[in-house]
Amino acid sequence: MAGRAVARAARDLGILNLIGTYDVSALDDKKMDEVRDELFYLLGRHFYSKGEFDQAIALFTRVDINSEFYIKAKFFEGVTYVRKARGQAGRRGVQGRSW
Amino acid sequence: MRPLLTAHPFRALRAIPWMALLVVSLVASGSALAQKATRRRRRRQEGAGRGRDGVRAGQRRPASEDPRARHQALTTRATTTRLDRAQEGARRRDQDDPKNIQRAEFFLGKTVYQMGYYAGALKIFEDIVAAGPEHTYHGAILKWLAALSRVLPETSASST
Repeated sequence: MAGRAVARAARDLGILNLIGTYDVSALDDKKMDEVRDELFYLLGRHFYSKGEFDQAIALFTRVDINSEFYIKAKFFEGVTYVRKARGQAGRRGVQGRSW
Repeated sequence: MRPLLTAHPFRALRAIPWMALLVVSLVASGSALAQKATRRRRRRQEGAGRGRDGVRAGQRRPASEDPRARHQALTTRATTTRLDRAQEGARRRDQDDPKNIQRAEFFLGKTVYQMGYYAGALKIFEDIVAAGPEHTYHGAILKWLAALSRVLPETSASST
């Protein structure tokens, strides 16, 4: 399931890249009330695809619990934590080796 | 005492035309009523199962009479009229104010989106995003990008 979600995330990259060009502060605009949660989620996905996991997690956690994107954001938050931890483990592994 | 035959036949004869007239008129009105009732019954039988607008249940209306088809045709005509106007503006873009051109680009993107050409709309919105914050509608596009992300899950990257 996670594999399918990651594949779909890769396909979505075009729109995500466009959304990623915007600053998070642009979402504080009153006009964005209707789509703010969706944009938090999409922007989080953008940072996730870039490997900027801390920023991605910060955005996923900002999605409101009543939003329809809350579950998706939580799912990606979990996936991001897993990838982040693996990255750290990988880094530790690389650092521990004697080249 | 007056004899019966001298007084009554005369009276009876005088009464005959009135009686005949009464009988004839009764018969005539009766048959007219019967004809009217028959006509009404036939009309009711012919109209059985039809809706208020005369279309039988389950019967398909002709396309020109279907209100949904008519509404769709009107909407498409209105949308294409807007698109024509936007294209006309694009043809004369050298003579126009940059703000108006940006406005036309934004409305063209919105129109194309509303017409269901999402990939085309994405291309237009991409150009607006590429123009940067100097574009008047750079911020407003974000909302439409979110809308596009819902309808373009598979082919969200434009080919250019």
